[in-house]
Amino acid sequence: MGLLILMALNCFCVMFLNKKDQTVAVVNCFGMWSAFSLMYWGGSGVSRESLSELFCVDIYSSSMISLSLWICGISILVSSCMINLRGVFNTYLVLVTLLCFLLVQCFMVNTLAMFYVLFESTLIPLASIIGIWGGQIERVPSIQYMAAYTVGGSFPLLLIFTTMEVHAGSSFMWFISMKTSLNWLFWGGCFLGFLIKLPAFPFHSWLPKAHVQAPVGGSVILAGILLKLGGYGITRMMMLFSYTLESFGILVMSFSIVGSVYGAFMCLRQSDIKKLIAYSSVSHMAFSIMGLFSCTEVGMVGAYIMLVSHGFISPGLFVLSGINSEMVHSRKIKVMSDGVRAAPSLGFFWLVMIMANLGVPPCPVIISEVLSVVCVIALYPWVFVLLLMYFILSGAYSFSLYCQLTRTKKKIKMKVFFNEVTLKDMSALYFLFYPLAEVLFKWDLWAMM
Amino acid sequence: MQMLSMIVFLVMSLMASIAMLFMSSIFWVWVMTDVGTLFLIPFLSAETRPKKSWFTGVATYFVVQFFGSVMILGGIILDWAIQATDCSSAMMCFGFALKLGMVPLHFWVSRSFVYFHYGGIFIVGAGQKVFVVACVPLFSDVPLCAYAYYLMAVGSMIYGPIAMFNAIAVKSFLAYSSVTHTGFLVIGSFFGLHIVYAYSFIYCVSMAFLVFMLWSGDCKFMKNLGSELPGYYKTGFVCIAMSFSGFPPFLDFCTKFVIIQLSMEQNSTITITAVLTSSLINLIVWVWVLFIVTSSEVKEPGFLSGTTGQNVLNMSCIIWNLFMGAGFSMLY
Repeated sequence: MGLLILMALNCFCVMFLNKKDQTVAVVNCFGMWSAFSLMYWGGSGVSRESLSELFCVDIYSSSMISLSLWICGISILVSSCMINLRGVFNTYLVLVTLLCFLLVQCFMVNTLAMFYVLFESTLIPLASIIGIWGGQIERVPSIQYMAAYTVGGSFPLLLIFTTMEVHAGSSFMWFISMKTSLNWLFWGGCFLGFLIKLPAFPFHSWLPKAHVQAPVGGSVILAGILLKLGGYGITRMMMLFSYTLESFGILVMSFSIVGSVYGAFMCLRQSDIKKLIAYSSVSHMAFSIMGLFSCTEVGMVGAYIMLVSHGFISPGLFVLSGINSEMVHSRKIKVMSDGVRAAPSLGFFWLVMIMANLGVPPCPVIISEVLSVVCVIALYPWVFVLLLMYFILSGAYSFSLYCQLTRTKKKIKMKVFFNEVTLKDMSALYFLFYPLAEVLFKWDLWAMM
Repeated sequence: MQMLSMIVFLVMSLMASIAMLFMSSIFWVWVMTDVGTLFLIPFLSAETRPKKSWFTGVATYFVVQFFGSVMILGGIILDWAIQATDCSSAMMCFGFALKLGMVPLHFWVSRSFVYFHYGGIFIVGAGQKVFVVACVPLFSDVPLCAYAYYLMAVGSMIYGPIAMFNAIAVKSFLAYSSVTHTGFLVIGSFFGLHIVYAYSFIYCVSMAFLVFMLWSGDCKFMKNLGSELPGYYKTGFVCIAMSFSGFPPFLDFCTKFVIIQLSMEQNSTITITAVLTSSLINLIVWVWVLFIVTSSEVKEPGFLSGTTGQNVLNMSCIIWNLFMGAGFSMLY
């Protein structure tokens, strides 16, 4: 509650600043709010804290809150180069701040009804960001696709919490666990919206479209935090309804395993950098799904390590792709190599980010992958074959990406626009990489004990 | 002078419609409904620059309403003369459905609306319908009519937004929006008149804002909405569009949520499916409208840049759509 009041007061104060100072002020505010949100990290595992009648936090929600604030601040930082932002930049600040406000509340509320309302409300600022600052005319169909998928997929959830409100009088979702065997239709209704949001295979097709059309800041938010809403929602639903979920969970895990291989395979075929990163997200989120639906503590820890780590790595890749594509005015990987050749430090950053994305130690993604693999293999050992295919394919596309960025020889020299890259874009990379070290050393934060 | 005459006829039509609500006999309900419709004719015909188009729209409207009235009167006479309850109820049901413009009797709505002025669109599309919908519960004890209304309402809810996609003219778009909301009103009537009145009030106010903004820009075609809609009303229009899209926590989401809740209490699966399907299609349509409105290459004045009255209207529209949903939910 204190965080929300602080956010509202700070926003009120920022309104009176100079237009030029507002960007810096808002970025600083996000940093301050992130630091404030660390106060909610009360304890690991099953520790909970009730903040008011409406809000309740535990480690899962507080980690998501901190991630939201951090990523939204980064999003403003990378968008402050106004070349790719038309219109009034302050509108962008308002939309991102509003989105962050909705997200923080979403991760704190204690009723399913309010969670649903806030979950759907986050679509409005994102759709506005894509609609106003998206690159191409195809952004309208992509927004329609994203909205239809997300809203349509969460209609069953609307019916579920309405049923709870009608029959039980409340959709309070903390401290309650139903010990009733439920059918697959119900499980599907519970989790469909969140699986679409994550996105899980085969409900992933909206994500590449949305990422391609979104500006850099929009992609950072979408990949960094909005996808994690799905994982968080699954966690909360499991708190309520996980009795006899195992058989349904096996089905979802099967789709996820196929999805991870599919995502990695599609990455190999991409020439557009943003689509490649989008499909890479599909692959990585599959591991979160495997961890969550394994219904084990190990799986839960692995899932949240992936969610949080991916929340930093994927935006980092998008920031790099934004920097690189601004330099050469193209998102084609082969063309972007001219930018890397002109600024060799970019090659180093690409290498670091690609390795982090691949899960090379000491990046915490490897811990998540190991834990998720352990959960899945415990159910059926031969699944390891598919997972091995994933590891090979992910290595292949990562290596291919790096080679294309750093090794391509072109006969025609492209013009490189150095002036369209600012120091703020580069500093955003540092701010995205540093928290990974924190996750690495505190990876057992999400354990129950 | 013309404005005065429009107001006079409008007030008389309103009085007849209100009187209709208090009539206990179906005959007097018919009389008052027709009186209200007749007084609307001069109101709809009023044009500052008379041209042939107004005649086409008003004539279409009048012929359809007249035919509907004939069916209702025929049903009343049949019931009085030979007590053929089912047949007479079916005739009356047909008559009222035609007047409401529900699918599949909606053919006249777009044809008329395209030639009406915006005031006429609001009165016929929202104002008149909320009174005629109050007659629907009269047939709730006749199963044939009740099912017919139910299916027509479901059809209107689903067909309306699909037709909105194909609308080229703004007035045609509003016509099909009116068809959709008529479906919701009729569905609401199955849960109680209090729902109808609440939803009617909300719908009328929202439509009033929408129609006024479109009238102020003299918007004709959907593709030109971005350039024709005044800049100082765009924020309000965006709020209305988001509300009609069904995004929480805007107003329209809350009203649909109440309908879903009531349907769930009565285990009405078809209603729930229809409401959700309609909401999904509405979402896609209004996202398209939002994009058209916000993508304008003309540099124009922005938020709070109009006169005091315009800014007040704009802010009222924003507050209405953003906060009244929560208020309605709490009140209900």
